[in-house]
Amino acid sequence: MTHDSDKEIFVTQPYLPPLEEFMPYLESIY
Amino acid sequence: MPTCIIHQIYYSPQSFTKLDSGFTPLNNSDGPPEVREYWPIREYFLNNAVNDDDLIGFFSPLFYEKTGLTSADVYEHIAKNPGNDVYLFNPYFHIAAWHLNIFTQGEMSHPGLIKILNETMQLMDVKIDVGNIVMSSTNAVYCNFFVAKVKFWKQWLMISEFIYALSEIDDTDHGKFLSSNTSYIKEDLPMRVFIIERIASLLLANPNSWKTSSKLIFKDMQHQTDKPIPFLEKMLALDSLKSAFIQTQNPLYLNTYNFEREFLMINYGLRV
Repeated sequence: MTHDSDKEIFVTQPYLPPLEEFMPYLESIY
Repeated sequence: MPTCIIHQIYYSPQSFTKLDSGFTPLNNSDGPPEVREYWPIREYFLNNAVNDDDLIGFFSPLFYEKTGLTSADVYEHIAKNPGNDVYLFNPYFHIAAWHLNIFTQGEMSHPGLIKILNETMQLMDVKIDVGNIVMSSTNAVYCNFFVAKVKFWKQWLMISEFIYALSEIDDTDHGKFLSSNTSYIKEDLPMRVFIIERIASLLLANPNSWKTSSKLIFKDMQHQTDKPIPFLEKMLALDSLKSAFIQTQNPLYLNTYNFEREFLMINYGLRV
């Protein structure tokens, strides 16, 4: 497993995919 | 099996629709909203006859949303683990696992929480630094999602009532701080709400005083386990090390917990 140690991972926040992956869904709503 | 009554609080027609029919509805429509669930719990014990061995619980309307558990799941867990004083249904396993205890976690969101609670306990002649207590899934619970015998509730109510009274009538800086607002997700709430939420865990931190059974809950962990590390496994390991320390008091377990936590921060960028 690789990990970019410069990136922070937050224990208390859920991991979400990048916004671009959500955009098609958002566009279909609005 | 002793009498077991688990209430689910509602405060509006909308919140009533979220109730699980297997729990007993408890109307808090007229309760002061700034006290949250402390008010209906307080009112219940002040106005109802109960026996020391009765098991009682008070869940919010968001119980299912936060835990994924139905009333049947809760009653089944209790039936399969008879003889305990307190049953914990903590919805935030990973948060309790990561932090040393729920007070150090609370301090980050509500600065001053540890100092004011230490001072409050000292007023009751209890000298304790809640920031140093070690907690794990064996004794930490958020949201008041626990079912306990009345003898536990009596101690809970005694401390909580003291805090509530201080916040209502004490005109010193101490009392004012308990009633002052601190930030929460959607709105500000008085500090006392977040302190009272932690009183059950404070009582359970007294070793060997209560027999507990914890239902481990990993709801919505999909978003957490999508993190680019074996997240749940790491949290389980941290929780296990703290639980082992609580049981044995062997400092090696606590040292290893601190080492592993530091390792995750340095090598994986894990943050609060």
